Amino acid sequence: MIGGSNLKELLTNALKAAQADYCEIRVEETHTSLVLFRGKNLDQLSQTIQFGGNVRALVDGGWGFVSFNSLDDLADKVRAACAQAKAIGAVKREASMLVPVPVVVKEIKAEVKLDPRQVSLEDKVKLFSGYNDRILSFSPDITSSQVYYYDKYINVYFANSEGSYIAQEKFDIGCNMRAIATRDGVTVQEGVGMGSNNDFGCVLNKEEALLKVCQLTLDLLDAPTVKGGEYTIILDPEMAGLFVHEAFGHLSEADDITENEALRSVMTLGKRFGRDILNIYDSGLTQGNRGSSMFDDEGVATEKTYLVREGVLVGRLHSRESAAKMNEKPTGSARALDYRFPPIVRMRTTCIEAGTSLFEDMIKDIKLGVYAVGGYGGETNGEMFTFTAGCGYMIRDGKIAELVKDVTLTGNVFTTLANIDMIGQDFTYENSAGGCGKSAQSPLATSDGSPHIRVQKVVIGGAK
Amino acid sequence: MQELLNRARCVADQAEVYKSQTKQESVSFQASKLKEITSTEEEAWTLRLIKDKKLGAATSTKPGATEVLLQYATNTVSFGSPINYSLPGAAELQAPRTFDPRVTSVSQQEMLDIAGDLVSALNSFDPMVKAMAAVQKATGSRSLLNSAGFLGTTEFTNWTVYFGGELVNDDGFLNVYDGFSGTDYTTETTRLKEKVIESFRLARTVATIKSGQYPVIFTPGEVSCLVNPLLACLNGKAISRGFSPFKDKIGEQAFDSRFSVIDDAQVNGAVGSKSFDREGIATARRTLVTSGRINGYMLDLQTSQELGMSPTGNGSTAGPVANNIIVPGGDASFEQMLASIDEGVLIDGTMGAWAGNPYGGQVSGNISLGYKIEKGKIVGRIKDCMFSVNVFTDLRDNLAALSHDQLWRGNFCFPYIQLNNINISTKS
Repeated sequence: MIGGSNLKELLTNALKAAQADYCEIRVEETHTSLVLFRGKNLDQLSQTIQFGGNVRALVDGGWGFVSFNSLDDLADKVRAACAQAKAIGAVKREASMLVPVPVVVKEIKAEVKLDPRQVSLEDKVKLFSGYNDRILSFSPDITSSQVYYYDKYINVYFANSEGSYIAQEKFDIGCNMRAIATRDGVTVQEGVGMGSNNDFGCVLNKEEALLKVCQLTLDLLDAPTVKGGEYTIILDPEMAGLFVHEAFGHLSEADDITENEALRSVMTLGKRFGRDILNIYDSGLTQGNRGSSMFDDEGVATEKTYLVREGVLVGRLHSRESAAKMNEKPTGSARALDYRFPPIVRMRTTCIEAGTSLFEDMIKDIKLGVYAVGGYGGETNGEMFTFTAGCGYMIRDGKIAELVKDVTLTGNVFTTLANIDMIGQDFTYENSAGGCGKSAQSPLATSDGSPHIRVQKVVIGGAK
Repeated sequence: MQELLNRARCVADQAEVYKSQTKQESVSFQASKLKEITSTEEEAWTLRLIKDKKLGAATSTKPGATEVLLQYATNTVSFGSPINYSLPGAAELQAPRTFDPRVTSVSQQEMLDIAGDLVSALNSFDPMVKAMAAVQKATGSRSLLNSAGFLGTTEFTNWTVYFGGELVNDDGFLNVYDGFSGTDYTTETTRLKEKVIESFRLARTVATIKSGQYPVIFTPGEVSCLVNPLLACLNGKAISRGFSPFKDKIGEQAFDSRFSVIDDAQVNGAVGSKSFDREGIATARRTLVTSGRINGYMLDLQTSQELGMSPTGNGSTAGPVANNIIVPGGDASFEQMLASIDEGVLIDGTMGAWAGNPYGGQVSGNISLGYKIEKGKIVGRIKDCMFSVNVFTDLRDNLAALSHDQLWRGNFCFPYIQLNNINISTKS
């Protein structure tokens, strides 16, 4: 274990070499355990130590960034980052802008419930082997499986030229389990994910969830591919969470907005994006969910940031630089994947707030629609989004009808947000072993949350 | 490395030490402005142990952490993955060109000039487009040593240029990005520059299309949507676990006879080239699909042993992976393909097409950059559309043409591919 007063002194002393408007050093040590079953075999079992640091410097609006594994000659690395920043600053000749934040000197211990380090690697292998056996023994049609688990124990040490020093202890735990069924050349798969930033308990007692996954996988073998077209859809909380992350979360990341006047005008605060029932927020304070932590990677305290309130745009996610450039308050949203990357504006836990509708009221007047369940993944380019459900059910005359597969949805973000016409009461958080990607920094620990939502006129790509 | 291997052999039956070193420098422009210069240095060690037919592994980037590395690897080996193979011994290796000394000597100023030139070209075409450009150089080495006597070292360079821009206006958002990557230095960015600018030019006109079935041309960069599910199915892991539809299908005619897929780690200058894989197996050029027939799989030590076949030089620590994937071109030109289409779609950007179940062959995605073709000509950009392909059936029954032109993007080298009767869904 590193840390303690020696490291604080080392970082603080090295920062004295900085000739820059702003300079920071971040050092990380991460211990990872990974268990992966594929089919009947334990496919991978490994333990990893990732250790390294970086220096980031700002001169006249230009950034320099140096990353390394060894803390030797740290002052030279500070000087190198400053020289890079100066080279950019000499061309840019802009004022360096960072919103002022309090100087913080703090050491933060993780508030862990069940510490994954207290569970031996052998017990972890036994637990996941047991889950894997359950999947494989469910039916002869289940031909394979994937059970993926990791836990990370992370210590991050941050010091900047303003006098802040923050040592944070963190955990990141993720697991995805998947059943794969093959019959007559047709292969289908279904899965379940879980994750936490403080509790190994999130992966315990999953037997019942696995039984459901296995049954659904078998049912999918006989399910037809959904017919492409425009439908009224109901998204389950997992899909709705994926939707709000992809469709609105990325658009709220202010680093993209800051330098783009046209995008700024699209994202003017006060603009209406949805009906009064729509409330969206992103929070770093949802303890227990992946991505939440007390301080971001610029040493800024995190918060719950409302993005949309009663259908109207009220906020966005900021780094210190984007907040200063837009004259808005910081939100603690600057995050880096690890020491090899500079922090950029990212989401934490992104949610659609609970509404008032009941599921039965959402479905009762839909003549022909799709109920999209579970999420494979999605992508956005700002204006358009697309994402794929684990599976779906046709809705016919107000009732859940047959199971369908290969349900991929697409649409215009703004039209789709405006078309959300009902929001359920049944809010849940969603965590899995996946993560978010942006600017080559992937997968970053994030999570989301939502109740069921209903959306009019969504395009689904599907069979001929 | 030898010292760590010697210590590892005391606690295991077989052992393998892998060391990688990388130095990287990049310059980037964002929103048409110079943004940052970054440099990265990384050294990682991986130790794999085999004891009582079980495999354990540990990796570290911490300098001097040999003890912890040994301890972690020992922790995992006692209840690690069951295996039944032996690590390979010394082999005769054929080394493709993976190192270009010119990359190491490129100055920061040259990198800034290349990126700056791309950004100003796009800005002069349309000042409303927010341009981005990144130029990156990397150099490093990979060394593998094992207890069976294999020792290999590869030095490599990497040169990447990435360029594009974002336009937000009344028509909505338009993102166009493209780039190339190889082990050789080049200042030839004209084709990249022209292609990005041409995309912005073509997208100025908006066209509409109705839901239905159309002939569709995929640009070389987007052919990966079609090939990725095939690679998942040709992966030894999917074969040995039984969920690939290509299991026991060697020799079977699965696709149109004009369609082939090659994995070639021996291409000079390509990013996926290497003389030996991560497990110490010599690489070669291997045909996975030949004239539409399944010809081979990508196999590592584990899956080759399970299937009673030979490893193919596709090994990694996480199962078989592709080296360089090539789809040989056909006899059409892109212009001929266009001219043959009365009403259809050109797809040059997709979103979310990776997100489906690859073993089912169904690929659906949003067309993030696509154009309507009318009477042999591109008439404008289409939006809010999805395409839906079943790669198993459409590459068998609906392959209309492959272009003779091929383009490298990363470790993929593909032609334009035209498929007929492809489902396009859009707003009613």
